[in-house]
Amino acid sequence: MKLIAYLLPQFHRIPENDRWWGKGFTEWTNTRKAVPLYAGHQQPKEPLDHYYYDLTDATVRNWQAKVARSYGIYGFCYYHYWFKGKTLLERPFKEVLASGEPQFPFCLSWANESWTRKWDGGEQDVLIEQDYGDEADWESHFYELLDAFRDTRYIRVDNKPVFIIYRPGKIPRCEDMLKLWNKLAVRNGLDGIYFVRTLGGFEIPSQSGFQASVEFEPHYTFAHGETQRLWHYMNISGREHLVFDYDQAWLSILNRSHHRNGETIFPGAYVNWDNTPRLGIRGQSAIGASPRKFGWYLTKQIERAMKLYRSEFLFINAWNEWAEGAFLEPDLQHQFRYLEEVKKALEHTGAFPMAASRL
Amino acid sequence: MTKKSRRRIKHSPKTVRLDLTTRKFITKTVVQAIKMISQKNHRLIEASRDHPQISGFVEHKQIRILMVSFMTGDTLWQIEQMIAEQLRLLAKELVAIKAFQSFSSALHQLNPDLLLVVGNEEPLSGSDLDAIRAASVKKAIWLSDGPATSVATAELALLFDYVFTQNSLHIPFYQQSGCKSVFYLPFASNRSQFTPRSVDEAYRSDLLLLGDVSTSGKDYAESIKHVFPLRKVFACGSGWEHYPELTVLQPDTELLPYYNGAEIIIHWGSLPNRMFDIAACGAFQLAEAHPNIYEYMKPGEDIVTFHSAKELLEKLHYYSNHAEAKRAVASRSLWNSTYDYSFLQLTTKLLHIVFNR
Repeated sequence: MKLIAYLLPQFHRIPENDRWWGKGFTEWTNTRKAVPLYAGHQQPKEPLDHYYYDLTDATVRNWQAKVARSYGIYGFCYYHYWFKGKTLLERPFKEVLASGEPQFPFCLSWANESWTRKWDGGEQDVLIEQDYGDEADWESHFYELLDAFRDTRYIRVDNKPVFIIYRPGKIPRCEDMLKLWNKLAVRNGLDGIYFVRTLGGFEIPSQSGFQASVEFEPHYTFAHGETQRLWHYMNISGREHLVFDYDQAWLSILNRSHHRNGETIFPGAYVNWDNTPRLGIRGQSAIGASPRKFGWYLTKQIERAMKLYRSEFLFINAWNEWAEGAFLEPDLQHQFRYLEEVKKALEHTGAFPMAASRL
Repeated sequence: MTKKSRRRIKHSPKTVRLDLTTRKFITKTVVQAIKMISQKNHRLIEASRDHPQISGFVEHKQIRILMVSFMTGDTLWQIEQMIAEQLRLLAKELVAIKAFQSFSSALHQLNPDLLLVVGNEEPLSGSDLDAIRAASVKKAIWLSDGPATSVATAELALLFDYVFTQNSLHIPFYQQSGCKSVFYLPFASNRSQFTPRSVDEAYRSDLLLLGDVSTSGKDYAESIKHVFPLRKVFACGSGWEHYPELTVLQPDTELLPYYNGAEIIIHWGSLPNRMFDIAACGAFQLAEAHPNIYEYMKPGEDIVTFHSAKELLEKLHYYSNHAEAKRAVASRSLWNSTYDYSFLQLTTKLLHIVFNR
């Protein structure tokens, strides 16, 4: 069993964010300003030892990989941002490629949403718009990633690098694009690309060209789970804040049929969810999360992944989404408890230590 | 046959005259018997009255329940889910929510047949208290008040038509505080955790002692201390450091593997649910007699009790030398964990009390 955690690179300054959000903006800017909205609401989330790191620092990236590996995480899935030739937040991953460090498996997920002021990938208040272009643009996008695909650390299935697309439904000629990439991959000495579609909190049209689907939690459950009674409005000084039950969301995940459309499915897991650091009262937060519960549910989901889905992978949201409450990294409140639960879950299911993380 | 019998009675040869003492004795016995019959009939009438209603909610799933959990922390969250799971089996609809701020809005939206609050660990806001007070639905609270209770808990309980407590000793306190319908209904064992398992040697023992060495505990410990050097003994509680022949477990030790590794478990002054957890592991337990035991367990059958240090020693000696008797008690406790004091039975009992009494 290979646990892969999504990794957000927005922990370093970029000129665009300086312009859009103010000078010096990083994801820490959001987490630091968070406040508790109700009794028992644990905010702000603070990294252990106040380790407000900068991902352009190689020691930080090596530390992340060392910690992740020691608790049984197999690899990271870095978010990749590409807007018709324009990349954003690319520097940490480029340095991973160039330096050969950390020696830790990785893959990429193309977060192909427009950036908005609301952090929702919507169509209002757009900061930078997603535009897919034509064959020439697809080709330049492929060559942007070719070094990564050739890297020995890149996670593969059938010797093909795993490439996840977050919202393929938004890509007008997606199937043509995937075909072209496969052709280019073969031309460049690869066996092809293993394309994975994300099952997330949005409509999922039927599209060919994908070898697998990955459940992105808890959003997939929000949008497609049995969640009629999951959400409740909390009245906070006359304003409404949306909360959901941590356990109910997990129960919905664990009771989901493994049948979808016949395709390979990589199951998902979520650590917690609370995006009030980004959105304040307009955000949503989970009620009732704890490391022990996470460990309990993760154990069950690993068992399902192995026995029911026969999946080699399980994707965890997330390694470091601090402003969404979805992080495994150690914090002041729980220290290493979430990571310890990951290790325990792997041990309990006979999946730790892994044969895999040899790099 | 009937005719023959009648004839025999009819032709009974003579009347026997009894002396006064015997006649008084017979009269008393008959009167007592008649009283018993009427009680029995009364129960039968009640049962027949109950039956259609029980089948109503069990078989036809007619009730809609809003369950609000006040159980926080890492110990009781699975209990909350197990209760919810059983209620899903029994009710038409169960909506399970956490007791978040202003949760009572859900009460207005759903208008359930029963508001069931589970646990009492979180304080309620004033507006939520008012909403519960004003609600016209049936209201019940299943308290998580095992080791101790408080005035605040009693005040909370007062808002509810039905109060279910973890400890029978708390019943008079709640009644004196004004609660009219109070019942002893402990949480069952979490069978996903407490279940027979093989354990490593490190957890195995001949004797596992649970309780503090103070007052009566001192007597218990002294009465059996001659066993300590001869057996592998673990103890959890305060004061055991005076007995160097045994291994003392730290207070926060997770006892589950030790239950599964113990040949005999002796406990006193225990938390009410401990006996269910031990039973669910299929372990043999010798427990200090306590009012909490009798409603759900049967001493001598699925648990063995002692009232004194002398009785403890005698029973320890007996069961140490009668492995099959010990095993039979442990096996019955394991069986009853599934079929008698499981969450399904206990939640059914709760619904029965609320809707059928």
